[in-house]
Amino acid sequence: MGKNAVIFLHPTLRNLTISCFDVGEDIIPYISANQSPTGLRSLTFDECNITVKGLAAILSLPKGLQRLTIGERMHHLHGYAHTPLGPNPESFLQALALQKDSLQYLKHIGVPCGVVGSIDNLSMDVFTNLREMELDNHSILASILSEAATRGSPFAGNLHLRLIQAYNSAHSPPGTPLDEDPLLGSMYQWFKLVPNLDFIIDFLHRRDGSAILTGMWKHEKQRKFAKKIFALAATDVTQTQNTPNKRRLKMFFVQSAGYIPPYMYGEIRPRECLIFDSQNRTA
Amino acid sequence: MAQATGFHLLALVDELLIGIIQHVQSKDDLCSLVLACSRLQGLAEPALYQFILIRKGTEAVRLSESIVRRPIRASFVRTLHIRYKHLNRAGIEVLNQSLRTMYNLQEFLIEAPCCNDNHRLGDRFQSQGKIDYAEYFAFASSMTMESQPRVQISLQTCKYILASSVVLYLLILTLK
Repeated sequence: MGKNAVIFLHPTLRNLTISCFDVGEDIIPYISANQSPTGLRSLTFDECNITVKGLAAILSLPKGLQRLTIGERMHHLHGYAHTPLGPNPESFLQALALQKDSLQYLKHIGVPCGVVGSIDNLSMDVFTNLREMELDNHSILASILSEAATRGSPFAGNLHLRLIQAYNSAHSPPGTPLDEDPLLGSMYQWFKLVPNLDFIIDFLHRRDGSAILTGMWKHEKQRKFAKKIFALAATDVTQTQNTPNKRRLKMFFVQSAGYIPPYMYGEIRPRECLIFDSQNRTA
Repeated sequence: MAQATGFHLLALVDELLIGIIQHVQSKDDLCSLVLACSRLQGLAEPALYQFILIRKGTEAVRLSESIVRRPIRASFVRTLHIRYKHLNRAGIEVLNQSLRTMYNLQEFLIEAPCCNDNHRLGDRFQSQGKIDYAEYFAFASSMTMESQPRVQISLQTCKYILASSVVLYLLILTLK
């Protein structure tokens, strides 16, 4: 990104979206001399290679960033040595923590990567105002959230989580045991940890999502398991309707027109289609 | 007909005319108003130039020329989207100069061409764009030399898309 990083210094800019950039340490000389904080409130990276040091440098600038979307490169890979944020979970969290008091919404999408650093003692408890997260199931933040919730951290209990689960039919052939079914198993596990869950099934830019969905759970055992999850969510609504910690499960699938991000002029963006909402008790 | 009913558009005060003009959506209709007379030109041009979408280099040249003819037009631009196709890039670079005069610009979207946009499958593709964005943002962030200094261009929203890679277009075609 180099000298283009000067954009992060603009004092009145409130909303900024950056697509298809490599955000590395080379930006530091261009922004390190800045003394006054900026007014940026919403920052979106779309299909960007971002290093932890580059991210930290950028997040040191805004006075109170409220919304942050980190979309790592998933499609534009040719010719790039991708350095995902996931293998450095502690440093990644430290960079995010530069905005821990103001951040209200955080989204992270990234390619699968083997974790190098340990996540055993990590949590997001310091993000006191964070109310909504949207995470790819491969995101290291999803792993941290899950681990911390299992250890008893209350953070996930107050969160609205939107979990994006990629689905490839090759991963779930007919006869797959229920506890190995990537969709049902994941949804069940996450709903136990996060009471306000949007579970989003992404068919990886395929345009026949609704057809796949129809055929996906055609086996009786899988249908029963899905009904069990839906029933659990629906029952919880009636039982806790007047309590502040109301549980809610929504399920979506992504209807794609086949385009990949970043979406250019005239390209049809994917849209989320609601399949189930426990509040309406419809399936 | 207007005379028969005793109605003259130009008999209305400026505030009412501006209120009417704000409801005109069509760029063609706004152009007609601007061309009608000097009074309507003064009232309708701010609406005509409020949102600009550039899809071709030739459009960028026309915009720059119109600003040179009447420099106040640059101050009317609040939203500028530059989203040109690779094949239509010639002339886009004139915006490097015009951008600096749009000091009321609030929303700026710049999209360098992508191979999704009229580009042959398999071609190696590099597009750094025709505009020196770093120089523009350095200028936009700098302060004026007035008695009460302010930032040169008080941008609020910016979307900056640089498709400088070879997109794995084959992936989409396979999945389609």
